[in-house]
Amino acid sequence: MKRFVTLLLATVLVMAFALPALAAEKTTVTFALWDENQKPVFDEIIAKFQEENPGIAVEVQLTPWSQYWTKLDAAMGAEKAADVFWMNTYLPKYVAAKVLEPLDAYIEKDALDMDAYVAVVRDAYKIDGTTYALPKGMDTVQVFFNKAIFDKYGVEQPKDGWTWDDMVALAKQLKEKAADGEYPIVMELDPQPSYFNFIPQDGGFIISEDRSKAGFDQEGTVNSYKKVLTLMDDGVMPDYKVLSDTKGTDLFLSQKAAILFMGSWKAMLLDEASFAKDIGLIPMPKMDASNISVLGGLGFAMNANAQDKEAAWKLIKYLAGEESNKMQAEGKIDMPALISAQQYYAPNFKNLDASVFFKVAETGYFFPTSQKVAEWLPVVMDVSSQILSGSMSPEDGCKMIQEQMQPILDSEQ
Amino acid sequence: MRIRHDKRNRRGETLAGYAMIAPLFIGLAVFYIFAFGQNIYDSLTNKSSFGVPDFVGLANYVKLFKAPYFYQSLQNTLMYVLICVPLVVTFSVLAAVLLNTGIRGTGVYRTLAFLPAVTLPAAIALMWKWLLNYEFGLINAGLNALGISSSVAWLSDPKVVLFAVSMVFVWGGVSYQVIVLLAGLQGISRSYYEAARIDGAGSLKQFRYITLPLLSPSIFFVMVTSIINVFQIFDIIYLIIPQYSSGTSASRSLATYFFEEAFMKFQKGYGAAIAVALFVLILLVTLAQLWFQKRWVHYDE
Repeated sequence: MKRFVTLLLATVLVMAFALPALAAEKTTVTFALWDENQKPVFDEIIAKFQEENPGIAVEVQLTPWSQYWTKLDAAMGAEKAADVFWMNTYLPKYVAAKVLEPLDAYIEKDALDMDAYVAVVRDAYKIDGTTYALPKGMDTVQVFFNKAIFDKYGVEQPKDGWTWDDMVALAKQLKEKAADGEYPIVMELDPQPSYFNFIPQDGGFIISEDRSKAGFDQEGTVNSYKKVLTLMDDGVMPDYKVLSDTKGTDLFLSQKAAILFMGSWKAMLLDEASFAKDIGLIPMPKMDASNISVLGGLGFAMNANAQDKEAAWKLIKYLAGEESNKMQAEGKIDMPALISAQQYYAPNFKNLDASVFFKVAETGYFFPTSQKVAEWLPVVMDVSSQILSGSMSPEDGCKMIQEQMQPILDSEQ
Repeated sequence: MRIRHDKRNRRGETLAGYAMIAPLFIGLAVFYIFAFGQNIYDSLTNKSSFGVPDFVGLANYVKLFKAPYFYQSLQNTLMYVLICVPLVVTFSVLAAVLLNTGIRGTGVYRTLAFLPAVTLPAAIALMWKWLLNYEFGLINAGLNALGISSSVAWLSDPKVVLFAVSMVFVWGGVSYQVIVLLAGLQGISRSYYEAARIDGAGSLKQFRYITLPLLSPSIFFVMVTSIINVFQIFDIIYLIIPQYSSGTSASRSLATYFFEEAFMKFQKGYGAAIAVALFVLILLVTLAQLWFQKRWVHYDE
């Protein structure tokens, strides 16, 4: 008996010492994100990841958007930032500060097929040939139209391959027959769903590919603003007074608008409209140069000071992989940039044809950015709103943007 | 012996006193006094997102005094003060006097008057955002019903946004001040009014010669705090004017300008300089008020 007790005590003692040692072998990776709506899905993804990687514990850190960047910056300075985090258009700034881990060596080692992603999105996270993040998802801009309104007024529905002039012609026919308070065309005057598409569509650019030149001195850039203003002047689109107070999507949802320029991020909402079966979906009309769409999206980046980089890479690879993309697509939180996972996204829609998004993505270009995007983008938005409200001419406005944006770009060199 | 005992006792009391104010004082020291000093230091650096900021002397201030945005937001801020402060003071004095007359249901009215003060600013702003909506707002519908056919773009027409924001500020700002003034009114002794009535003064004269002078310390307090509040006007603008819309530049105050620079463009050093400029401005105006109060504020001895 005595011997048994001794043995038992000894076992307990050994275990008491051994257990923490076992636990210490488990490495912890911290993962920061900002969207609480997406967190439940990520909690599930993380749970699955931990199941498959018992040696890694992931700590999810949710910081609301309003504090995310301030906190990330402060934590970087104190070397206490998360190991893996969501990254957006601010990427070049963090690359320039050398706080992101280049991922090429890891990609090469694991022979990860980068062609499995939509090319534009994949290349968006490459700076000077080095990849700093893997794609999370993407969003595209296209036209939603209310078939019922076209049919009611006996106007031909828009067809893929249409041009801006075709659209104006259709809108004018609608305008003649429409009741007061009904609008042929609506859009939201933020950059992504409106003028950041039109500028390249009309042959201009926002920032040159090498990110050294601002494109607001280009004729195409100025013209694209003029075309939008013409829609307002012709009365086929409500002016800024209406559009700045009431979202274009809301006008469309209340069946007061026939054509809506909108991002895929609102598609789920539109699919749930009472008249969703009447909603048609096509790529934007072609302006002088193209009908290119600006693409948005996020990526997963690694802290250059991450504690356990191998574990952090495993997490990133998993987050950007098939299973995670599938769960995000089925959870309706993001549209996969991973081509093989796009099949899981389309069935979310009862009425809309999601293949249009993937088609539009093929020819898109990524949301313009540079190291100091946080400084010049507000200038672009501020002055653009003045142009689109008519308090400044497109020529003067574009000149003003150019004069403020170019020095900011010059100071990046 | 006795004296020593007393001394020890007093020291104990002093320590206890300090201990009791310590929680407040430590909070004040860390979050206000230290932060204040830190802000002044930051305004002399090129602090941005990360990395060790360099000391740049007065460069931020030079940039500030050259920035058209600074002058525009300064002008807007002064306009807010000129519009809002007189309205807040007038309405709150009127409301307080009316609520002090003792009509039936005073308790209900007082509660109603205090409601905006306990309502979240976000709720107030969102409510007004809809009331002021160009196409679907109740205010434009009211104007149309009155026969004014052209709707006003309250939140996007650069010519009117500043007035719309002021209107919301006054609506939300009056209520707290009413409570301050009500307390002041209740401190005025009834005997003054009785004496005045015997001398044959009507209610207007009583208001002019008794209420106003005896209420002036409270009015002074209301004025000083209102001016400070309006100088720092931020949340209403941030919540009802869409970011970078046609109404943005016409409604931009110094506080929103600070927010944009420090937290959207991440230029924290420059943002700190804007905050210092706002501080100096408020300090000067408040000092001027303290100086001028001798002329009109009457302290009842």
